[in-house]
Amino acid sequence: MHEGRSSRAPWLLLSLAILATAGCLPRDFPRTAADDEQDAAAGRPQKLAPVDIDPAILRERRFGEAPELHRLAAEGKLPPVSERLPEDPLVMRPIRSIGRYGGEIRRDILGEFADISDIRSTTSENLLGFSRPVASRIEPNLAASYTMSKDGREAVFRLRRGIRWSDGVPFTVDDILFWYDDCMINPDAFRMGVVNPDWLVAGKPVRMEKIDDFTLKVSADEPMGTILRRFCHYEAVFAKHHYARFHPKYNPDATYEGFRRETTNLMEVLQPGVPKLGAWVPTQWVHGQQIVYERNPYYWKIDTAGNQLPYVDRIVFTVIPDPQVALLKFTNGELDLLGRNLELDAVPTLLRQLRKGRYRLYSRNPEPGPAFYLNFDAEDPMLRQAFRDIRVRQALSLALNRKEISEIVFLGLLEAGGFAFTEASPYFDPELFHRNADFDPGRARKLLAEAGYRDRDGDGYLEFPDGRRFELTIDLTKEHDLAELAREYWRAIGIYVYLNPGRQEIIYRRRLNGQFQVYLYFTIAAGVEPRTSPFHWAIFPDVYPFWHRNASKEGGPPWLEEVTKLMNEALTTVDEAEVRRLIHRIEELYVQNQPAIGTGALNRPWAANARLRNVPHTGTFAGAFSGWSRGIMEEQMYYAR
Amino acid sequence: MTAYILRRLLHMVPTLVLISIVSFIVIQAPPGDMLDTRLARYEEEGSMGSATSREKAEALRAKYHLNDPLPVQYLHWIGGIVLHGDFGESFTYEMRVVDVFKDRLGLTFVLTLVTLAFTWAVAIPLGIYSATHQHSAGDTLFTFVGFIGVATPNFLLALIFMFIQATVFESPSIGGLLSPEYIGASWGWAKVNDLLHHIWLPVVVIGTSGTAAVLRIMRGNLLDVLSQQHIQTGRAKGLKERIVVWKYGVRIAINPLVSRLGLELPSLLSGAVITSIVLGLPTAGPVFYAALTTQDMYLAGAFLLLSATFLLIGNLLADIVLAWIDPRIRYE
Repeated sequence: MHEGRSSRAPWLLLSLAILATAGCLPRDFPRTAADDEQDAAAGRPQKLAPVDIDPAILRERRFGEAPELHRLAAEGKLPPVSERLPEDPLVMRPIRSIGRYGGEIRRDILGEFADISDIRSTTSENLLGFSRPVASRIEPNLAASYTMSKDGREAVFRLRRGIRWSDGVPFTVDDILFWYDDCMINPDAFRMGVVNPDWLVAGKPVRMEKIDDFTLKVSADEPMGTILRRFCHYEAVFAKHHYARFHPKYNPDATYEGFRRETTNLMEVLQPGVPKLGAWVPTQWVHGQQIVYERNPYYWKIDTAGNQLPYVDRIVFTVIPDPQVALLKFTNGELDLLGRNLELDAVPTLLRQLRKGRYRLYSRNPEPGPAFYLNFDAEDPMLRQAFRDIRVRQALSLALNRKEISEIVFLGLLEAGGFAFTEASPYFDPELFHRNADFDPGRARKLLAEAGYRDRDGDGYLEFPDGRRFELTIDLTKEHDLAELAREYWRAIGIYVYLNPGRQEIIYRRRLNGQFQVYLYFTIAAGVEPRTSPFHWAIFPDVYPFWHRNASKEGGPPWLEEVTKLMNEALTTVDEAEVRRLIHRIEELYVQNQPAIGTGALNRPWAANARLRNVPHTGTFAGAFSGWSRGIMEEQMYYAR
Repeated sequence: MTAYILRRLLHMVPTLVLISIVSFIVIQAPPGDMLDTRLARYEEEGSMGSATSREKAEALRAKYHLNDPLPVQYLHWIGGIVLHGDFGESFTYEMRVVDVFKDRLGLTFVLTLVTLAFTWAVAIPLGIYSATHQHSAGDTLFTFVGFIGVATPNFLLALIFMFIQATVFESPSIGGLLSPEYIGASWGWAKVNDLLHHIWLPVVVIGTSGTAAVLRIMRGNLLDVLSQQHIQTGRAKGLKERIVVWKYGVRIAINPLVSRLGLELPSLLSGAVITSIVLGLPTAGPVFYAALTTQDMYLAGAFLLLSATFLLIGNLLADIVLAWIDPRIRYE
């Protein structure tokens, strides 16, 4: 533990200096409309995408395709496009205009393993998906439609007829059952050796049955409140015709060990030759260097003009382990998208070279900013008592000057708010978001006095009832500058603050074991969808929520007990409107009681090659679609001439 | 000589056992294990609920025997290596450690050997020049450059060079060992040419500090030797200055550098870690670094063990070479 006041001060100055050199960051990042003007001025106007597809195109199956595929089809090496697409292809309306085929998107990854979930989400397809840019609705994807029984115990999914794997073999319910019965709930085949709890309902795995080749029935004894979301998050398919040969059930010579080796995370996503359903399939994997994905000739999505997607021929992921080098390479024109690993300190550099016109800056949907979690079960009984007092929590919140934090630490990109859902969440409520954003140190001091904390020895800091100085320690792994500011704000209202910066692995362990006092972290709980991590919100055995571990043994405050009741209800409720009502009530309780001190919503920038079109002017951050790229839909992006 | 080599080889066995134990303790020393690290990362990404991943982690922990006492884990690990040549499985790559290495060793060897050649080819002539022209303008210049070279961190040099490449020369591809279009291509002249276009940067960057150090050592040693009596005798006999310097001076002065060469052997495997990360080189160093930070213990352990083995072998080779080039050295 160290004070670090003097050692960190230069960094604050540096931040200010950077701010000064960066000038004013444009609040309004360029919108896609700017592309249209530019293209029109250059005499090459883009063709705006129709809202709906002409039904005649679907009826007569007059689909467009990439010239390369057209040539292969003409040579007889590939079936014609009308036979490659399913009976009811998914019609995707491009963000702005109808694209042209060709080109490649070059992206950076820190390493295969580090970014595997990102690569997976760019190149895989699930049964269902979320609406964009706000994940408020569940939409069909591989499944054309689904029905859920009223009691939530049975769901039926109808797949699109005639979707083919990238090698031309038809995709059917068997591929889902192979993934589920033979891998997911077969502990031998599954690397973890246990059934993934995500597919358990009331302790038992859900049942999946085949009704016919294109109809899947999923059922359980209890309501499956989150089953649809599971099908949004999981790539719940395995190409049976490819993997069966490695599986002992289908091939007596195979072993489970061999099967597990074939189906590791990396192998499944990166290995060339594995049939895929995504827009691009891996054709080359040079370990530790590069992965190349080429267009899937059997991709089953079309634009609203009837052209088979994707527009871009290729996606190339290059391993660049150092984010600074990725930034350099991006500004040098060697990468086309930069975002996943972009830190705010890169923004001044990006702004300085923006004039060259090689790339554009965009803003992501606001993600939850950092928050200070207070440990209700802190080891120090005095601190424990303090954190359990709502007046202390309110005082800590009122002492933060969020506007100043935004200007100094976040280049003005942090929108001041409390611990609540941001605009990226379907549960966003502006009133609740802004309610705890006030800066009023005077009132904070008054609240602390009311709570019985006084400065008895006249040193400028308050004392606990037992006479010790009111001190707290903030655990942190990043956002030093923010912690630095918070220390000054809280000292100003009479609370002495220490900082304990450390490596993620160590701080995480302290958090896990409840050994922290205050924990600064990007808002874990106020993400987009509390149902993906309910244990951060409500009391769950044995040690959740992490900031009140004893709650499951000794009981929590009444409001938290109510949250727990509501959360358990939300987890088993099928009706989304009802879920929304429940979660809104949970949020209200959180905003009233402020167990954690939020700072607001952060609009992170990202950047793309200036020639790329159909770039969403608000990409969505990772949490929303479990993967950064899901929010930006590469399959409908293209390069302007 | 054969007896000597055999004895040395025999001595290596207990040393290696000791090294393997220390390696194992070192990789186990940080708090938590690889699964904690992974959980922390999952949470940072917000991609997975931790209750789910905690259960998974517990299952994995049992599977990889992480709950066993340390000595049992050690025996399990070393047993696999000695009996089956199996270094275990990398948690992060979910592959056998050997397979993780295999892909990277080729380019790592090429880079290290070229760097070594560069270092020696530049440093030894300059060192000799400096020593024979002590206090001349050239000597002062090389000394100055040498100190700068030793004092500048390699990774900083790498960043500066890359920045210059990008801004001044507007090079289309910075960093790495190959242009993207050649990475997956099969080896041919075009690819070798591309490799040569890229490899000079890491060679110069990594080689700079080595060059400076070797230059200083060479200069110091040669100055030392040149002031000895046999040199004086040689000169008095009227030998040509070239023969005095090369045959009677350099040949002796180079001995410490041969020992140093032995120490360089482990860097074949894990050399220039930070520089490789900055330059995005597909060498083994960054893998080692990642293995340490993610507590990928079998991978990190294999690195430590192999590096230590390389060091021992390097030392042995150096001693043998020394005995061969310097007839004064007798081991019996």
